[in-house]
Amino acid sequence: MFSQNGVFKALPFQIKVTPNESWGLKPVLFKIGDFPIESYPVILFLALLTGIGIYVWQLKRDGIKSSNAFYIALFGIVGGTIGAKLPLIFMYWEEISSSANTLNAVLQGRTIIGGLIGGSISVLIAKRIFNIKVRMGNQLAIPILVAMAIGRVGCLLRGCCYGIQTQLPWGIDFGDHILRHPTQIYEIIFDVAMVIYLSLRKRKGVKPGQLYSIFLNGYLSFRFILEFIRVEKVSFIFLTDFQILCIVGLLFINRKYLLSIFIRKEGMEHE
Amino acid sequence: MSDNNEDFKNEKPNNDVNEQENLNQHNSNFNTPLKKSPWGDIFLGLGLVFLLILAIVASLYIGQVGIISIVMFILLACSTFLSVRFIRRGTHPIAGKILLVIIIPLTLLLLIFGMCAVSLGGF
Repeated sequence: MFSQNGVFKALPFQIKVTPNESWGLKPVLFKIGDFPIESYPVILFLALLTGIGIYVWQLKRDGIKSSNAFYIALFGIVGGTIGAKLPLIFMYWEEISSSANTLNAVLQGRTIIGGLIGGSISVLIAKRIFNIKVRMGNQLAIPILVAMAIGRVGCLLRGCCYGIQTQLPWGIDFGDHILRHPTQIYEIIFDVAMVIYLSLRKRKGVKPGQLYSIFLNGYLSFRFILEFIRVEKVSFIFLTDFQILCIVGLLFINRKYLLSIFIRKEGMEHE
Repeated sequence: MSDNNEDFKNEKPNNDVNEQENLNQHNSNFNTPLKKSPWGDIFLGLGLVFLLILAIVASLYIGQVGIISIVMFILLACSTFLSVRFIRRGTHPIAGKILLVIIIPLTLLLLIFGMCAVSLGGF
């Protein structure tokens, strides 16, 4: 169909992804014939399934039967996907553009910080456009954290999102014979601790949407600190691109609180 | 505006029962929704899906990866909003659902496949 002599021109790239098997703890789970089943997409798919499962279970437990819950999850996933990939396209524009394999370049690269910000903005826009009043933050926070923790197992196996060199006994060699901080494991520990904390907080009773706000504040602050021991390029003074994204995210989440302080100050000055 | 209000005030109540029944019947006939054939919706949905896939494949010919990705994201976001709008407003629920069936796997494809970090892409 896409032949050189036919009506359609051949696509300007090859549809073939070759994983680098020498990097990471276990980049390829198993092979079917010559076709490798990579660990990262499999674990990510499992993470997504588990997250959706916990979300549905929480909705049932809390007695929420509204179809709005589905729309919020849908916009969260679509907005999250776009938000996760968009910042990286701008950050690595030249590297991505110089790729010979266009499809691989389109598919690769994602950041959870961008995903969280993108998902939140998308849900807010959708709620305004479709006049959805319900708040699902309390039901969303724990599933997202569980999915993130499982997703980081994929990062660990694939060997991405690793830390700087360390002499600590738990340092991991991802393939270059250098012991590095297992930042993926640090993040898994944080996610599990956060799930326990949020579950306890939910039992005590919380305002609608409060758990999501606590989760985002906690995760973005943690990630800001974690970035100091991760291998990322510094783009502004001593901050990496992801740290700048964390600051943007924190400002966005706390915008109402910050605005109220600003308005209160202005009011006091006028008095 | 004021004339209309005055007309409304001056309107006399209708005491003729037969006439009222006729009016009610007429109104009830007017309110019952006509049974719409689902095929219009199905073809609209299939057409939109075809258009979406065509636009995505066409965008792949641009060659610039960054621009391809941005075009894909715009298409994905617009089609998601369109499908939810169709379903929620009830204008074309089947078309909306058909569109959703293609949007979800496309999103999952972008979300799940490919390397996590750009540096591991193996350029």
